[in-house]
Amino acid sequence: MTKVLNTYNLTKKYGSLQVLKEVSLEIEKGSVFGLLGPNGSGKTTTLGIILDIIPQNKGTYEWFGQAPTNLSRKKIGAIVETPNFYGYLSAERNLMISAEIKEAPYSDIERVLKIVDLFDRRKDKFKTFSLGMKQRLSIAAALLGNPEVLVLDEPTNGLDPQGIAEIRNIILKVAKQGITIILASHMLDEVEKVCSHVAIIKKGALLVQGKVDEILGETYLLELKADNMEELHIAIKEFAMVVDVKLELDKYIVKLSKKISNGEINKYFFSKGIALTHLASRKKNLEMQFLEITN
Amino acid sequence: MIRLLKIELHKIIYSKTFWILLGLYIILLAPIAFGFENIIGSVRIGNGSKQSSMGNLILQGYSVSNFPDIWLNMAYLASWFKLLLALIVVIIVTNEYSYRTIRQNIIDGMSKWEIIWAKELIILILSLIGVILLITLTLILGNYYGDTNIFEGSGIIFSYFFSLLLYLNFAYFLSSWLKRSGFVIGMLFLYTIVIENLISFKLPDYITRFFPMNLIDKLVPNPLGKLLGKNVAYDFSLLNITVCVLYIALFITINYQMLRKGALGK
Repeated sequence: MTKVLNTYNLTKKYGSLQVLKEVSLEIEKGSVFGLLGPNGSGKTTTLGIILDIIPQNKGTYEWFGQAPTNLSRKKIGAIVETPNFYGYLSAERNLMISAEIKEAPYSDIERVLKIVDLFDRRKDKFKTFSLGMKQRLSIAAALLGNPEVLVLDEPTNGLDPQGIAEIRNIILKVAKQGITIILASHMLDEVEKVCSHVAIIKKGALLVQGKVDEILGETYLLELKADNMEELHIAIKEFAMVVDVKLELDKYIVKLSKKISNGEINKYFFSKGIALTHLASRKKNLEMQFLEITN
Repeated sequence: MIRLLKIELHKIIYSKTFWILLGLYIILLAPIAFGFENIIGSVRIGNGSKQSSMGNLILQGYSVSNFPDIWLNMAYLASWFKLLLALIVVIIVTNEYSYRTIRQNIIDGMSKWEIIWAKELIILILSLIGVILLITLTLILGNYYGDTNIFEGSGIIFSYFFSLLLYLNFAYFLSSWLKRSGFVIGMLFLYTIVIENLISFKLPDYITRFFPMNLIDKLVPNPLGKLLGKNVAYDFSLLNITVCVLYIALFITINYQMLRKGALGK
């Protein structure tokens, strides 16, 4: 697989405060890559470094397999933190500046404004826009010149539910065109809904990275109790779908690789001569999983 | 180069602040230039003979609008208004920090040198506007006589041009250093009026004459000494121009280093 971005041991310190610790990422072409972490975990710093607005103390990175220059940034559409535009200029004129910088044709402006549904407001000054519109305009600017990569930093931050839905639809629409997307977010469900890959960072350190369904994939938990707990333990171990088992107080907590009905489970243990005194299935929610990973 | 110019023109063509300041520069300078003779003429006493405030009698028929003196007189007058040009530089540079557009420009694909050259282009254009206005006003207001060589003394144009470049680059440096227009304007005044004089206080003339504001005074000197019968000439020497260019190079280098170290504002 072709790599769009590689980072090698990115490290950043502000004085004695270490905000990034040797973060090495690998992002494949065509993936929707989520950079997930709580606020202040170093997501924006990471994006700032790979976009050359924050100098790193250590480490290197490569865009498209090459050392980065301002030319590689022209193939990247990016928004970091807040939408940054000239307040006294119209949406259209602001995009003309971005187009000029990226060396994209002005004719592309109409296309991107239509994608984010701002074409009718193109003559209005940026400062008259609502937060949601500002955010959409910055996505429009990022889409100018058909970038190979879209970097989005908390694109739904501060938006109302409708605004969030609009932005997510835009992201999914763009992802379908095969553009690689790097999305930083502190919201797990956002990453889960739109991303194919995820890296989780906490306090500046990379905890894990990989495919979303491998890392955040749903797992199924069972609570089991029987009169003879030892026999139960042996029977659990022999059960094919079991991924993990542990004793929690007086119950066994069993992790299954796929969902099985309680009836099937009951039948299995009955065939082993065990009568369950307690059987409950619980779906582990993503928040719990996220907390488990980050703790 | 054309691309950088287009980027910057998009930013300023619809900026009210830019047009107000540039308008003020032209609107204030032109009428004052027209009234220049009368202002200086207020020292006129008796029937047509001129006297400076020191009481020295000056040649009959002398006018500030006579060639070749008018070149220096106009340049000196116009020099007072360069503050308005500097304000334009301060506003367009600090805007990039307050709107955080400097970050976006870099993210979108401008190199850090391009960020600087784009602003240097604007400085160059503003300096040229200053020079063109000087030439226009001088040619309109100058008193022509049969044997007048209007180009005599016009070398001040170059001297004046370099003084503008230096002053505007100083304003650019302060802007990218302090990033907030209020601080920058305060520092510009503080440096020009207080700081340079304070540093110069105990230092010998052969050092202080190369301080930026002193250098500007050497490039476009106060012509009023002429009314006292002194010989006043602009000092467009190779040494002065070299020092001037070195200052500009120094300011640009510091600006670049600040960008490179990631000082892009908060």
